[in-house]
Amino acid sequence: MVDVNSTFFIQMLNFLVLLVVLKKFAWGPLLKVLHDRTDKIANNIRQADEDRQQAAEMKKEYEQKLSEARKRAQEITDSATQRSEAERRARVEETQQEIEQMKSAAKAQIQAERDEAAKQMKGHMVALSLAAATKLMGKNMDDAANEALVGEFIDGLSKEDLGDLSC
Amino acid sequence: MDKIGHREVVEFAGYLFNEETIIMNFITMAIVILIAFLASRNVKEVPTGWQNAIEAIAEVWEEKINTMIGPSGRSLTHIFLTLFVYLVIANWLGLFPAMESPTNDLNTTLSLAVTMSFLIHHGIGLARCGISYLKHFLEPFAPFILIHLIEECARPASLAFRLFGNILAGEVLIIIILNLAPWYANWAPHVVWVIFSLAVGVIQAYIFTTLSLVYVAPAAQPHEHE
Repeated sequence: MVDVNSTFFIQMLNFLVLLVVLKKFAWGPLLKVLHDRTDKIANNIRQADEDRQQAAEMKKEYEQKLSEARKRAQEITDSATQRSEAERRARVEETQQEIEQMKSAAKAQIQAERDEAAKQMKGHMVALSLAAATKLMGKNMDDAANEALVGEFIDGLSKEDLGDLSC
Repeated sequence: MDKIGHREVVEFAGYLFNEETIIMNFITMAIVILIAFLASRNVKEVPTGWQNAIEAIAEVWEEKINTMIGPSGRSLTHIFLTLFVYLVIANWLGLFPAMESPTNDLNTTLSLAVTMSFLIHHGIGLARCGISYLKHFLEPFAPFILIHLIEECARPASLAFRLFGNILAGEVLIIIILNLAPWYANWAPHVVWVIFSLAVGVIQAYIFTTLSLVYVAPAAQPHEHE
């Protein structure tokens, strides 16, 4: 029980053999996998931290760029709106002016043409009336008598005799 | 009762051997090798079964080694893993009928203690620092060599006697309990004591391995003796 004999050396040798055998054939491969996995997990965690940090930086950068782009887009839209509004107003004013000009020109022309037509018609009517009166009465009258007569004649004409022409 | 602590001694080539201790030691080694084979026959990155169990034990020791020695001590994990698994199986073996723990023989515990606290401890120190490693026996000054030598003897002795005493006492108590009461009354304390002995087996293995690590750690630390 407590006698130390040669068993001591046998046991020591056995344990050393067990150590060597297990290291070579069992624990070696097992611990290698364990260490590889530990290293892999540590690397993955480190990589994930780096990636997260990088992603946060990129997000910040993108948000800043996006905000700048939005601001710029807003500026462009505002400026385009202002420009188109100004252009529209200018066009409307220009068109209104043109319309006004065309209207007044047309009115003036209509008035001038009407006056001319009335004048011409009146001349023709006097001449025609004199000719008709001369022929019918067979006698010549003096100028004052003529004019009085024609005036009376014309005044006596009905609307039907004159047609649609207004004087 | 006359069986307690009794060893059949055989003589071979003029040397005396405890036959039963050696046979039980071979059985223990065979079981340890079988467990190691089951754990490592199909090593996978995601462990299952035996691999998982052994990895869990390996991680416990690796964690301790990491704390006491540092990451460079990783290469020593297999030594403490082997020692722990061997001791657990050896301590439990005596709980089976007609079996005896190889660790209830002082030859076994002393050989393990000397291997760990002397051979492996100083082997690592010499391998790391060469002959200059021996200078630490003369520190802080020369007469301290006496204290160091006493320490060198006390360490394996304390390791060996603690384990030997605990396991032998456990097995002695099993025999005493079985003889104290008739068969129909002794099973209850016997079962309780066997369960307790299972725990004692693990605890003693843990203590032995931890103390071995404590003794080996100074020689394996990177900053020591450099």
